[in-house]
Amino acid sequence: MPDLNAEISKHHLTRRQFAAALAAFVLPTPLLAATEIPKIAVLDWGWAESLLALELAPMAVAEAPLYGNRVVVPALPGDTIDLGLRSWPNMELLRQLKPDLILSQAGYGVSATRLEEIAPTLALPLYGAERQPLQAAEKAMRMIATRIGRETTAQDYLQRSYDRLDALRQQMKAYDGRPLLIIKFADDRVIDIYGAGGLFDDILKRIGITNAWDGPTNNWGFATAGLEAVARYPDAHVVIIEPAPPGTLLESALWKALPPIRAGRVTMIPPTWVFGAFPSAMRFAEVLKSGLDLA
Amino acid sequence: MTSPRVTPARLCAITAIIALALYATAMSGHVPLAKLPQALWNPDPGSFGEIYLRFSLLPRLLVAILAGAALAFAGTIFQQILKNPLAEPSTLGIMSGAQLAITLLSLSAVGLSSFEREMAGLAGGLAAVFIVTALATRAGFAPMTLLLCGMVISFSAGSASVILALFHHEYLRSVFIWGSGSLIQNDFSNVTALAVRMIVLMPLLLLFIRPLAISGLNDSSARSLGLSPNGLRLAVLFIATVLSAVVVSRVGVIAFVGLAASNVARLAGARTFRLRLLWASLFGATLLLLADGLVLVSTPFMGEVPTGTVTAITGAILMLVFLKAAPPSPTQEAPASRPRSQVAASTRLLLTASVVAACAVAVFSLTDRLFIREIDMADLFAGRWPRVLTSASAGIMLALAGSVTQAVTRNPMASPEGLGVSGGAGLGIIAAFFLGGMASPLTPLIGGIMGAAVSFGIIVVVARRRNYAPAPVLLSGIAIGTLATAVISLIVASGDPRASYILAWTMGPTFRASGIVAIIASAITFLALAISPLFRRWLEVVPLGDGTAKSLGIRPDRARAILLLFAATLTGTATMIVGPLSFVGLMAPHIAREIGMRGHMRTLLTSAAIGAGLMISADWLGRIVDFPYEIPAGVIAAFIGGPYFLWAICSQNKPARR
Repeated sequence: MPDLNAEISKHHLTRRQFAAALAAFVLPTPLLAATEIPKIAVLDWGWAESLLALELAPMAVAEAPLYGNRVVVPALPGDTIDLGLRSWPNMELLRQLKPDLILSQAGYGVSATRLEEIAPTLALPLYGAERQPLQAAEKAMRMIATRIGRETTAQDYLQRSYDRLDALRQQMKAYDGRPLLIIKFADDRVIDIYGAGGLFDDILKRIGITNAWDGPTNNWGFATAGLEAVARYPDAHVVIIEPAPPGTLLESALWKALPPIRAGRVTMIPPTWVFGAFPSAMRFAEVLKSGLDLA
Repeated sequence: MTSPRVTPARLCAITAIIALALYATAMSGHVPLAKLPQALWNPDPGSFGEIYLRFSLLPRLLVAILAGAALAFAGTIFQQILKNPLAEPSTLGIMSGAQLAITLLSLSAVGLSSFEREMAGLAGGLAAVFIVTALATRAGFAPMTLLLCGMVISFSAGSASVILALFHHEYLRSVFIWGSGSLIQNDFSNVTALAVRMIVLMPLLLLFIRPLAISGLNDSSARSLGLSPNGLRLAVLFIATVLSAVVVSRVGVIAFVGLAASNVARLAGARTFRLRLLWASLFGATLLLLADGLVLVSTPFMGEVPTGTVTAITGAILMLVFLKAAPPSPTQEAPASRPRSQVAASTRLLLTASVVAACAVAVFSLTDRLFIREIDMADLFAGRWPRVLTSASAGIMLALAGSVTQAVTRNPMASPEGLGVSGGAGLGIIAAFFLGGMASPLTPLIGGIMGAAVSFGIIVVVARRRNYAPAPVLLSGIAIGTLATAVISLIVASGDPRASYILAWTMGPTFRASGIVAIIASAITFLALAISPLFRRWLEVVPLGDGTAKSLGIRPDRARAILLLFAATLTGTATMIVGPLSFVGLMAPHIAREIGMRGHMRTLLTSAAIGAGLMISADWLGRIVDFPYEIPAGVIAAFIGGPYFLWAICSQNKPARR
């Protein structure tokens, strides 16, 4: 008998999925009623900021207190519930909250199958095989918007953002066009260098600036190296994401001998969330622009 | 066994030549070979290559020499004072203690200066040594006890660092980069700092050469010369700890250099303590230089691997080889098995009581609603039964594996955790994660079992020649455990966002247990419980020795191999659920005996019930102490288990002193 039951439930599921798919295509109405504010639990900060950009506050976010330190803007409301670790949220709390929708990053943390047991889940890819996180972030934002019935808000936001990127591209023509080497100090000896497959690289392409780093990068689009890596790109302009390296390093003979540093081609910019989605990417574009203007 | 052609001087010269050749190769990638001397002494400020050579590679070379020499010097002194060829800063817990203290300080202050780091490392290293010696004093400074305490302190501090990393791994990345022992230098500050400290501390230790060389013989001869052996040990331990902690704080965790250098010096013919001190220091310097040269030369092909990771991996292998090759010494004889008393009538009662207690804990954990008040009982149960069932299964599996391991190795302090079998399983899980991903819960399971089986096999090979004496068996475990720690810190230092995921996996999150995992785990547990009566005769006979076994018609080798495979399978499965550091496999059988259980089968079943109870409680505690954040049950169990292990070692050693 159990086999038969399994068969039946399999068919049942398929039918439901089919109906949902049909509804999504035929009837463009959102699955959630637009009149009441949906309760959304978010396990990835990129989707949390995307949701805020859609002018909707999530009910609960994983590691919500830390979000304020790392992503900074757009800010989460103070009463956002903390769901525990992003890589493994508190499943019992999630069950108790009974959200209308769970947003997670595909391939990271809890699998969508396990989350579906609790509530409808959108597991959206950001750092996937395509290695185009900005595009993935846009797609994800549109999917979230469709799900909560805010397609116009999303369209407006993205239009505004792309207009702004086009404007930045025009302004960047004033920049001398040297390739940028975007680095962050992991400690006082080791640096992360942002290259292909990362959010920052996608933004550079959008605003018409060459990324100096052509070496291999990991899944998240960065490489880890010693300072000598900077010397491999003597013509580059170095952009350091804060926090600044320790003063002893800035005073050292080695640092001063790096060709871009010796030529004074170095800019410091405030930190932006490295593994974020569209709003983080826009924030990076803005801080980069103000940083380069100052240089 | 030493060929007359191998002398310490020749060995050092050969290592140094190879190391310098590797360095020269690496340097020639930046500056043409002909311009090397000029770049080193008088670099052209306009050429980055020359500046890099002068201000990064030259200090790096010097740091490798200084750190290697200091660690080997300290290691040789530790070995002399503890009368144990396997003592060194990492095996005494100094490195993990320093690491934990620095990790804690980094959380409270952003941007640690190297001075603050050094103070924290000093405090942590001294605290570790203080705890270890305080515990060992109770056992009259028995060298073996000291080393075992060091191992547990090391494991506990290591697991505490890992939890901190689990919750703050982006903040702590710099600590992990430092911890993995990268020798990258950007100026001469570390060179001067190390040199100054060594110039003060090493002559201070040299003052003790004479008394040390004497006390190395034995306590009574030292006493007859009017020396207080414990006072002497404490003074020397203190200074040598300061020396090693300074190196750790400046350079990071460089395990096993001290161990390898002095043992190689001994094998190469440095017979006296003085000679060993001299040649071990020189050899330590060249050895670390060699390891770093290899790292430098391979960097263009495989990225920068921290030198500390390289020494940990090669050192662990070296240690296993030493353990296998060294002749058995009379002090490392296996303890005689205790005379077994008549099976008391109350054991049935104790067994029932422990089963009832385990069930009560399970029911409590299943229904607890301390933080989750507004939830339907059905919803709560749907999410909770898998974790309770998996915790219980893991506890039972570890308890069974522990009982079997203790019988096979004839060592009441053996356990899958202490033997590094859990560490091996953890490495297998990490390997499975990178090779096969998380596609199916079976991939890490198979990886874990394979890892456990391989590490068990290594220990059997190493220990067989030594008649399964406790010391070499436990020390093989240290080696494999160090290997696992090195690989984990390498992954965290890489900055891969998957690191937190892997950390959580290796720490054993019962909260990840899905229904399928719970059912698989409990099925394996039931199977194990069902077949364990088949091993009854073996478990009774194997501990009595090979001769007895043969006379009773049992082939001891085969019996041992099958029992170990049984234990490895259970350990591998349990590690996947609760991580490598739970100590439940040690605790459960030990508690069972402490409460008065006798008779193999009943003790086995009682310890299974106790193991289940311990793991379910650990899972519950992990759920409530930092809500909504969940602490892996394996970590909680390790926090309880570590101190228990220490207490058990000390109370076991006390009556054993003759």
